[in-house]
Amino acid sequence: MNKTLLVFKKEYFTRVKNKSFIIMTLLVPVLIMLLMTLPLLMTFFKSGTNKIAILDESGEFAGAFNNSSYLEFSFVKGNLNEWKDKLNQNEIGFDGLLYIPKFDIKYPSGFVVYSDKQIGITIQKTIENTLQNKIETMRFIDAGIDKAKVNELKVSIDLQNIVMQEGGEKKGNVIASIAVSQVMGFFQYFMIFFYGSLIMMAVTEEKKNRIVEIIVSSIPPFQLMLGKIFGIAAVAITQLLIWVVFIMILMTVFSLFMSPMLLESVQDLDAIAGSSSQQITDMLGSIEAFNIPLMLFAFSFFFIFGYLFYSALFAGAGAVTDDNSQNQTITIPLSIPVILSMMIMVNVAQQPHSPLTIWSSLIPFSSPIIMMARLPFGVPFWQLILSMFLLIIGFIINTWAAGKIYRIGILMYGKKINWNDIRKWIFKTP
Amino acid sequence: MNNILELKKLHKEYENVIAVNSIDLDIPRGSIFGLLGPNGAGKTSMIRIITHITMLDSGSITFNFNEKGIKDYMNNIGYLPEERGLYPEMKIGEQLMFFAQMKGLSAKKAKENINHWLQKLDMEDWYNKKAQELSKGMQQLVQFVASIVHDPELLIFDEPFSGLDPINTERLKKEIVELAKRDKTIIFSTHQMSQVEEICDEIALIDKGVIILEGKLKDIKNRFKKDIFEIKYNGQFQSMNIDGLDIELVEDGCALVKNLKYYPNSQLLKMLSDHVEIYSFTEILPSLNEIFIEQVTRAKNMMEAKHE
Repeated sequence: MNKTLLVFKKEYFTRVKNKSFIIMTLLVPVLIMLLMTLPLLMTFFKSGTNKIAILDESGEFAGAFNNSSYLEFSFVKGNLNEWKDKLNQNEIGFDGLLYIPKFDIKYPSGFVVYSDKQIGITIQKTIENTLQNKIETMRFIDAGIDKAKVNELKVSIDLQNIVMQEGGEKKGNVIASIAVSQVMGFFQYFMIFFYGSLIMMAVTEEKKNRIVEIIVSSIPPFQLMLGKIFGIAAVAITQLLIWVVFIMILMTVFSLFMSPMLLESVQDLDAIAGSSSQQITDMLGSIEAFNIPLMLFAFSFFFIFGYLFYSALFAGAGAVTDDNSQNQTITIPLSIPVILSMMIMVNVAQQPHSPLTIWSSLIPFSSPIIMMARLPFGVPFWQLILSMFLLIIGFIINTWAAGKIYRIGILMYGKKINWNDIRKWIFKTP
Repeated sequence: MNNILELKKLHKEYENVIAVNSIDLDIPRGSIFGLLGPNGAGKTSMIRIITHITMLDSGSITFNFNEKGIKDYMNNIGYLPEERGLYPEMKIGEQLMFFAQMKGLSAKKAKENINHWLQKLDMEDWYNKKAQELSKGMQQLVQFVASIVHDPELLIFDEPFSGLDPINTERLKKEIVELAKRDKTIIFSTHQMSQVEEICDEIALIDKGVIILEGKLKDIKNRFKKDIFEIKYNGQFQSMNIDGLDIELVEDGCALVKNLKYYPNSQLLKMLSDHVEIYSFTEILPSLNEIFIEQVTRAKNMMEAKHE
């Protein structure tokens, strides 16, 4: 067992000290942060740069347009064609020209923004909203209705979902559940594939470099395989922990420095998307309402055992192949259950409690992904336990079979190996 | 016990090939033992069974190590496989540390031994180099060190000189002979006969999973001598027709004499001296190469005869 530990250490430290590991570990949180904040940042960085001239022939819109941090309006007078020429020659220092013709209040049309470049969605929406608002008000006045009264009468309903549980009632939120479920499922999928192929590469490389015979004259192949699987698992966990800590730090720093500016951007976004920040706050609130310790435990469990389950298979696949083109064909049967699970996972959001979802969250091939995706919607305790139990059994069977394939496969060179050979290795060797 | 390793009825079959066909073999302690045979004879299969890489179907392997109390007998074997390599990205020092510790050495002892060997082979500068920075021959020396760094009693070298230049071949040969003098046992597998003749004490010739010839190198050579002598002389043979001898002139003053009637050497010399003045008289022993080819061909013919 000492030697397994040595292999473990070697696999762990050579990888953790590797440059690409360090770069990847540091880069991913930054990328994630960027992706998360990109939409906000984009609106933020645009601010103050857009000037729009308004040529209002209807004369109805004086004072209707409010300047904001990224949009400045000024009214101009004159002939439309003149102004278009000026815009073409870039003489006037405006980014766009809004032309408002005389219009029939029943059928308002003919509003155009002339610009040298495509205008952004934010500008388009702002202008549209302003025009709509103003014309609506005009129509209300024509109809003799008090706009303020109408606003007073408007209502907005927020449907809450209370999930009944033994421990009491819990506020549910479909959107939050979907988000958490998909993110967790996808993350699991990514980790299985990424670290699974890392295992396969580690096995194939040792075989390709002809080191394996020296190693197996020192350590039984099964122990060697275990050392590798756990060594790389430790690398995965290290990376995961660094990511979690790093993202938390980044988030804190980010919110400290950026939140005042971001808040403004969020409000701008609200104006566009019509969603309210109250909803976002609600969503965050209901994430807190999840059973966090259980989720964390289940996540860690399915992450680790899902990884171990597949890594045994990947190790076996790596042992069978000795060049990369063959690797591809061997991984195809391995990727099918993973990709199928991804497809089912999308379905989980629509039908979290359908038979397909339940069965696939129990079967070891798909359970690491599907159970992860089901968790935010609530899973009966017995299903969770059964799924975990089956995954452990599956892991043991896989490791046993992979050990047999590994033992013979790593010393095979140049021979094309088919599934029949592999079956024989598993069942017909002592 | 004087045999470090005893194989009894060692047997291994793959799907439809008998790789090792119930072989009995004793390896004497402190010897350099040549395991010879054509490609695919079963040498590597045998070695892999001894090194516990593949499992045997039946038979037994007994080790008699001096040093008792080593839990894992794999730790007392050093193995340089024919298919060998290093981790290309890893530093030489780190690799050797890994290999040495995998053979059960403590980190301290491993470091000590590595330094000793790197010094001995003038390779100290390589400690911090990555394997991929070294030439193939240099890598091979590192692999050699990796196989002996844990100071095992039994060493198994499979084609250790393949790909080495003559200088490094000599260096390695010297080290191997020296190891044998330090009471290490060396099993040396190859089909390079000249090297075997130079360094081996005993050999076993394997073909198709069976030992077809086995014993001390000297004895084997004697057994296969063809009673041909090379003589250098002064004078002229009056007649080439001497009873029971077949004389063939090589050049002026040199001839090959075949002793057809197995006269004792002294009588043979006397008979020749009657005709010419002899300077030198040497028996020509067959080269191992000739024996090897002859035996393998004979075995093949016998197999074919059996089939017909």
